[in-house]
Amino acid sequence: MSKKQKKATSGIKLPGYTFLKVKGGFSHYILKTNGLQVLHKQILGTGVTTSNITYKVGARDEQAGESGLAHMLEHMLFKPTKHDLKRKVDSGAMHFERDVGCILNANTWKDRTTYFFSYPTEHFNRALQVEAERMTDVVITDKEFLPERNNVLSEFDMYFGDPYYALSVQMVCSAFHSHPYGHETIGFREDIERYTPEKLDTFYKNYYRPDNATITIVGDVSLSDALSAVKEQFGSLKNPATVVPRHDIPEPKQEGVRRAEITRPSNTNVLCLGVRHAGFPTQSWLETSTLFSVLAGGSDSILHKKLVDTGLATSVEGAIEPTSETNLGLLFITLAPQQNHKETEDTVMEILASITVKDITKLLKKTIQGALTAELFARGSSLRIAMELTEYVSADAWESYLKTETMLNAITPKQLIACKDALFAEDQMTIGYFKGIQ
Amino acid sequence: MDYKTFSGEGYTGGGIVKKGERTMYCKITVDLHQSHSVEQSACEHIYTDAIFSGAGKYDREAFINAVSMLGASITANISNSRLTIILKSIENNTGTLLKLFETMMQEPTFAGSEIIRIQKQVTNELREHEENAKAVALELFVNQLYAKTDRRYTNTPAEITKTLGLCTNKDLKKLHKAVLSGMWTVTIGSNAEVLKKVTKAIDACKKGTTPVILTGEHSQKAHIQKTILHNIPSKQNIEFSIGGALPLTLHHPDYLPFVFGMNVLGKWGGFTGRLMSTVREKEGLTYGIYAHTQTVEGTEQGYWRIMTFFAPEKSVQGLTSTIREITKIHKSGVTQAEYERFKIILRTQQDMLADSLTASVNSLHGYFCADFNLKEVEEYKNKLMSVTRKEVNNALKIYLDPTMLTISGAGPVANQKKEIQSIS
Repeated sequence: MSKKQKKATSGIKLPGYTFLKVKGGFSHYILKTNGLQVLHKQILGTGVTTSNITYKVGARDEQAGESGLAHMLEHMLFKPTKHDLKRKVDSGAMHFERDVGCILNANTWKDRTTYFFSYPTEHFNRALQVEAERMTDVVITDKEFLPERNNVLSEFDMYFGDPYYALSVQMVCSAFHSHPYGHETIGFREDIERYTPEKLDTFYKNYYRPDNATITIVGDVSLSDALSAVKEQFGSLKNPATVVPRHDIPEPKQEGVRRAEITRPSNTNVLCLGVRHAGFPTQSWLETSTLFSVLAGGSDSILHKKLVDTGLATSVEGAIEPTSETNLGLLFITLAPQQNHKETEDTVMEILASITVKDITKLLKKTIQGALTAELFARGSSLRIAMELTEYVSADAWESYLKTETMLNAITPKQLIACKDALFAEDQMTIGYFKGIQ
Repeated sequence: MDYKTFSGEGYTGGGIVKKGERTMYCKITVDLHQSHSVEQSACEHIYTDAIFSGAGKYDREAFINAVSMLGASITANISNSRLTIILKSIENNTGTLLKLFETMMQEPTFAGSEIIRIQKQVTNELREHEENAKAVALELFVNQLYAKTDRRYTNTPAEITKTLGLCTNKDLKKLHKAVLSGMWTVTIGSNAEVLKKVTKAIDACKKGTTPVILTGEHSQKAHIQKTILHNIPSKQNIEFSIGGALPLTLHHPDYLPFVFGMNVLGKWGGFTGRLMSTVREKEGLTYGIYAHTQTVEGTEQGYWRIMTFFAPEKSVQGLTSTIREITKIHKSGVTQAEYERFKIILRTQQDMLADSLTASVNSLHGYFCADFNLKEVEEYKNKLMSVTRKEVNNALKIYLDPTMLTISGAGPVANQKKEIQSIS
C-alpha cells in the first residue's frame, strides 16, 4: 500500500482523538475526553461549511403524558445560555444568525434531534462555540419557556389543521399500543399545555451530553482544522455520572387490521393505508421506500394510473420515515368527489393483490434510476449532505450513506412483490379514513 | 464556478459551468401574458399537464415512461402567466432527455381524451385548493391590488372550473404557439459539454418560430383600505397577507433601499427580522412571520407583503402587533446597528449560493428573466450592499405607509370577523 493510500485509510493522528474510520471522503473520530463523535468531509473551494449536531433523543424517549418534550426542548435550545446571560445577549444561536446571516434551524423526530448552521467558513469556530455552550448550559425558566410554548402550540395548530397530518396522528396511535412510536413528534396539545421548565430541564440533563451526540462537519474546512476546533470547544464538556435513559418497549403482536377515523368539516376525503416497515437504513427499509415510489411516486406509478388517471382519486402519495425501528409507512389517497371510502379501500386492495412481477419490473428500473439521480442532486451541497447524513448518524450507520447505489441496485422485482405481500397483510395494516363533511 | 451568457434566435440566458459536474439543471421561462382572463387561466391550468400527454410517436404513457427510464425529469408550471420548464438529469442521460424535450416542444399532440382527463383532474384539484388557506389569503390580497386583466389576478376555483370545459385542442395549440414564439430565458447549471448540448436543443426547439415580444397588461387598482376575510372552518389557524402595492420597478433608485428595509422588518426565512424577534420570540403569537417584495420586475411594479398566521383567538392581538411593527419602522426607520448587521446578513446570503449549483442557477435565472446581463447582476448585488441608511429610511417612509394597508385573511374567521375588520 502506498503512503498516500495508507493515509487515506488511516486518517490523521490528532492527540485527544480516537480514529475510527476513513471512507468515501468521510473521516470518523471520537473525542477521548467525553465520547463526542465527529464526522467530517471536506468540500474544497465553496467557502461554505455546514455543521450539524445530532443528539440521540427524540419522541421515542418520552413518557406517557410528556409527549412532544423532545421537540419543545429543541425550541428551548434557541434560548439564552448562562454564557449569553453573562454577555448580556439574547441566545447565542439567534445572535449568531443575526450577526452573520447564517442559515440555521433544527428538527426533532422519533429517534433524534438535530441542529445545524450553514455559513461562510470564517465563522466555523463561532458555530462550534454556540453548539458547545447550548449542549448543557441553556437556562430554562418561565420567562423564556412560556412564550416559546405558545409558538409550539402555534406550530401544533399549523400541522393539526392539515387533514393528512391529523389522520396520521390517529393512525400511529392505533397502530402502536405500547411502542413509543405511537405518538407524533410534536406531541398532543394536552401534554404540551402541561409542560413545566422543570420537566424540560430533567429531560435536557438526561439526553444532552457529549457521549449522546455526533457532530458532522461538511464543507470548506480541513480535517485538522475541524478536529482542532471541536476539541477546543467541546473538549472540556463532561458527561453526567448517570447512563443515558433508554426505553426498550416491544410492541405486542397485532392481530387483524386496525382502523382509525376522523370526521371534520372539510372538502377533503382521504383514505390512508398504514403498513409496518423495517428500520432504517436496512435493505428492507429501502425496499419499502422503493415500493412506495412504484405504487405512488409520480404520474406513471401504479396507483396514480389506476386511481388518479381514472378519476377515482385526486392524488396519491407515500410517506416513510427513516426511523431506526419498525414504524408505520403511510399511503395517502385523496378521494375524488362522490367517491366512497370503503369502495376505494376495496379497489386499492384489489389493485395491490393483482400486481405481478411483470408490472413491477419496468417500474423498478425507472424508480431506481430516479432515486439515483435524486441522490446525485442531493449530494451537491454541504447543507443537503449534512441533512441526509443525520438519519444515518441517528441509526449509528453513517457508512450506509455510501452504499445507497449498491443497495438500490440490489433490489429485484421478486423482492418487491414479497415486500408488498408482507406489508399489506392484514395483521400488519392500519387503515384510516378522513371524512370531510359539508 | 464559471459564469457564461449566450443568446440565439428567440432566446437569451446563460449558465454556470462547473468542471466535472455530473448533473444537468436547466430552467426555461417564457412570458405568455397579454391580458388575463378566466379562459386564459383555465387553458394554462390544462396546458401544464397536457404538454406531457403525448408528442410525436409517444402517447402520454410512453412519453412519461421514456423520461422516467432515464431517471430524469421535466416539469412545467405557470405562475402569473409565466411558463417555467425545468429539466433535470444526470450528465450521461442529458442527450436523450433533450431529444425527448425537443419532441415535446415540436410535436405535442393535445389529444382530446387527454384533455378530458385533465379537465376532471384540474376540477378535483381546484376543489382541494379551496381549503388551502395560505394560498387563498394571498389570492384575496393580490386581487385587491390588481384588476381582472392583470397577470396577477386569480379567478376563483368555481370560475375556472366552469370554464375548463371550453378549453379545446385548438386553444392549447394556440397557447403552445405563443410558448414557442415567445422570448425564452434559459439558465443552465452543468459542465461545459452539457451546456453546449442544451443550447443546441434550444436552437432546435426554436427553429422556424417567429420571435414575438408581448406587451402585457398591467392594471393596478386604486388603493382602498380594506380587510377581506374568507371563512374556511376546517382550518385551525387564520392565514394572513398584509401589505400594499409598491409603485417601483427593479431599476428605480428607491427599490433596493426598500428591499433592505423589508429585510430588516421581516427577512424571509430564519429569525433575523424584527417581526420574528417581536411577534414570535417576545410575544409568542405565531410560529412564522415574514415580509418581502413580490412581482417587482424590470418594467413592472409589484407589491410588498407580510405573510403570517395566528390562532383565531390571537388574531386581533397578532395583527395589532404586526401593524405596530410596521408603524414603528415606518416612523423611525432602521437603526444604525440594524443597518450594519443587515449589510453583513445580505452579503452572507449571496456568499451561501456557492454551496449549491442549483441554488446559484435559480438565483441567476431570476436576474436573467429581468433582463440583467452578468455585469448588471454583479452591480445590482453590490448596489444592495451599498445603500445608505438614509436611503433605506427614506424609502420606508414613502412606501411602507401603515395607513395604506390591504389585509386579507383565510381560515376560521367567523367568530373574529368583526374584531379583525375593526383593526383597519
